[in-house]
Amino acid sequence: MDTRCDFCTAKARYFQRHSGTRFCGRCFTKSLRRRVWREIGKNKIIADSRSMVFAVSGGKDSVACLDIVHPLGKARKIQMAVLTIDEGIHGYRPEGIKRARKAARAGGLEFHVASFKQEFGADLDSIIKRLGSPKRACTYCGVLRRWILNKRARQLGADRLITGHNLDDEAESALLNLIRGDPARLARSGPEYLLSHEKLVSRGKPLRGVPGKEALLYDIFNGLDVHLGSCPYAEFDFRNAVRGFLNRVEEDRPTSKSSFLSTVDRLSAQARPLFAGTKLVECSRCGEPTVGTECKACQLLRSVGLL
Amino acid sequence: MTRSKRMVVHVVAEPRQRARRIPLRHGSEVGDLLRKMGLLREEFIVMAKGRVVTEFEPLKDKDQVRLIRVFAGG
Repeated sequence: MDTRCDFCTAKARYFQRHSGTRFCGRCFTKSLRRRVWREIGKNKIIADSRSMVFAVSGGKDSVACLDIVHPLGKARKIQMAVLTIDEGIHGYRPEGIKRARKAARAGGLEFHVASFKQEFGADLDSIIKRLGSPKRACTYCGVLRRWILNKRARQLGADRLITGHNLDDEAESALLNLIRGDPARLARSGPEYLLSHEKLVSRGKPLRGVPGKEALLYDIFNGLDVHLGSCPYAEFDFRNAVRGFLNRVEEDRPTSKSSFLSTVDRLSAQARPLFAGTKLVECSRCGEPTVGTECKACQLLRSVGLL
Repeated sequence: MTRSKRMVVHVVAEPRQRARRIPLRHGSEVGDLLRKMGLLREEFIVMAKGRVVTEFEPLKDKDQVRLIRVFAGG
């Protein structure tokens, strides 16, 4: 027997396990958009923005995020642009850049690419060669990518950097911070980045409550072209193990990820006063905002002889 | 008419495109297929005849199914 959508008579395409709801493609799209709009309103993601930059990798999350948020920005006459980072990962990144460019064009937005090679004089592949092992690839890639994103978004005049982080990413990060024993980082995480600095573009994560699977379903139902390939370095990251663990827990008990994340958010809000002394200052070398004297990006670049 | 108690479903998993034939009990659904393959519902989107289907979609002998992995990584 066919299963029908709970909201109309169309055939159901998705069963949302945590709510027990069956959706057809169209009703799912409506429901997801509404959820993201609520998140944007609740966390004032675009409330007073005049210029937003979307960090788009061409993957499922950032493309869905752009598709949902961009019409809101347009209605509010916010200036918008798309920024993609070319880390220089052979056989992987070029496909993503293609999709990101296509998504920017579809929204009539300016498209910018910033590369590791331009900024640091070496792409990720050659940094990994210098390291001798891909084990810490994601650490280098993540830190350096965030460094460029902030710098370029600021240069583009943005007061908001919109990223496609989803519920899975956020729950994984929260658990990773707990496992690493990094309560200070945990305390400044949450829907908003709590530290501010004139050189730090404030970030917004409209998909924070959306599971990765639902982001990809949104792309499929709306005919959005996304890059599905896997990064050749991702398998070496510890995040993978944490992701597998959380997915197994979610399989047995749907809603685990979202209740875990909201619990961590509430605890980290309580813990904030303990770390209230943390302030952002300019990095002694590059001038970008950091909590130490030299930022992590400069430390990592120095460790591989690029400074 | 007698019906065989077993059936075979052809499964192609993205992005690596490896094709597999999975034997299942007659009357199985998409959710049973994932369980049989040891896969988590959270990690895959299942498509049959070019459309996304729920875990309750009934499967028939020789059906072609495409699995899209949600967590590509990176």
